[in-house]
Amino acid sequence: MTDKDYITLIKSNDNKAVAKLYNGLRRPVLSFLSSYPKLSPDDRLDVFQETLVCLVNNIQKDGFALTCKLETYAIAICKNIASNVLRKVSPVIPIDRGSESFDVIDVVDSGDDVQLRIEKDEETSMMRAVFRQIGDSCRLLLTAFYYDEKSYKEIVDTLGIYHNEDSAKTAKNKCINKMRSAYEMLKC
Amino acid sequence: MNTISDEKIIRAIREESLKDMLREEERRIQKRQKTIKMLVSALAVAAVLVVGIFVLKAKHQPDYSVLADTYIAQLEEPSVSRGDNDLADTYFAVITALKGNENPEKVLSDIEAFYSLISVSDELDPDEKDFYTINMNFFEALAHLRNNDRAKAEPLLMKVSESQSKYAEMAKTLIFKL
Repeated sequence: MTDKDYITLIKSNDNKAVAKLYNGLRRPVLSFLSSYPKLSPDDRLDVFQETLVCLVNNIQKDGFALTCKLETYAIAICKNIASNVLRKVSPVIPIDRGSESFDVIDVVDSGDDVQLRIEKDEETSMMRAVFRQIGDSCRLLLTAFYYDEKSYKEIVDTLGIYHNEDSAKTAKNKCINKMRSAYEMLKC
Repeated sequence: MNTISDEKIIRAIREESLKDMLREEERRIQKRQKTIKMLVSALAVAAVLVVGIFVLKAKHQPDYSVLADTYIAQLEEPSVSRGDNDLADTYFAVITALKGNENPEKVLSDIEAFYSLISVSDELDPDEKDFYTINMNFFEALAHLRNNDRAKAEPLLMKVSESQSKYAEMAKTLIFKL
């Protein structure tokens, strides 16, 4: 699959393409991250996964245009995320995995050398931490609706825990409110 | 109070769900790598075992030539060549070659020469031909054992042991010792 193929498929929310890209980028990115000795193997995997999340987000933004190899772009993102993570590394404070959202702000691209400025989106990062803690039924429902983009009917049929579309819709709204409340408490 | 936007909530849900999917993919990759590692280890162990068995087998290959020598020593002394009877001369030349520890390939070549001569000979009747042929089968078996070729020797020894040859008993005991 070419880089262009990946971009086309990821823009149309093809999860299989994302999984394939994950497999394809795993070796080069983890190899790059091996030059960060302060990152443990688990941290490197986490940075790689966050890199993919950021990469997919960018690809899905309107007007995204890749002007270098996808691998080069991924490593540029990875570099920034690794730097962010390393700022938090200390013998006392454990790294909070899986809760950081990044936005690519600036891209300076000169062929194979891509310089990125990445900014952490604190609010989204906190909301991700909240999402991880809201409970399995909410996570399943919200993932099905917002990530898998299933209809209420499909959710009722596949999850098998809601009587009808209305109860699924009500449950979804409750979950969102639950997330908002948890976020407000976290902020305070 | 500035509440978080719906867009950010949805973004958070999508990102974390994607991360879950990537974690699952990572688990699949590691499981696959573990399986491959186990398969490679198992193949390596199997290869080592196979090679080991071959090496042990080769090391413990019995030396049939020593056994052949003890029986060759019991063969009668060959008569002196008369020069006028190729068949008899060849017969005794084989015994001489065996006792003289000649190259087994040379001995086998002499044996082949004998078989060719006896097949066209009109001096001997069929019974006599059988008699000398079966004896020669025994000599051939000894030559093969000198060459450590048990596979070729054994069928000949079986044939001799079931015949009326004077070497039948020797063939029987030799089979037992193989």
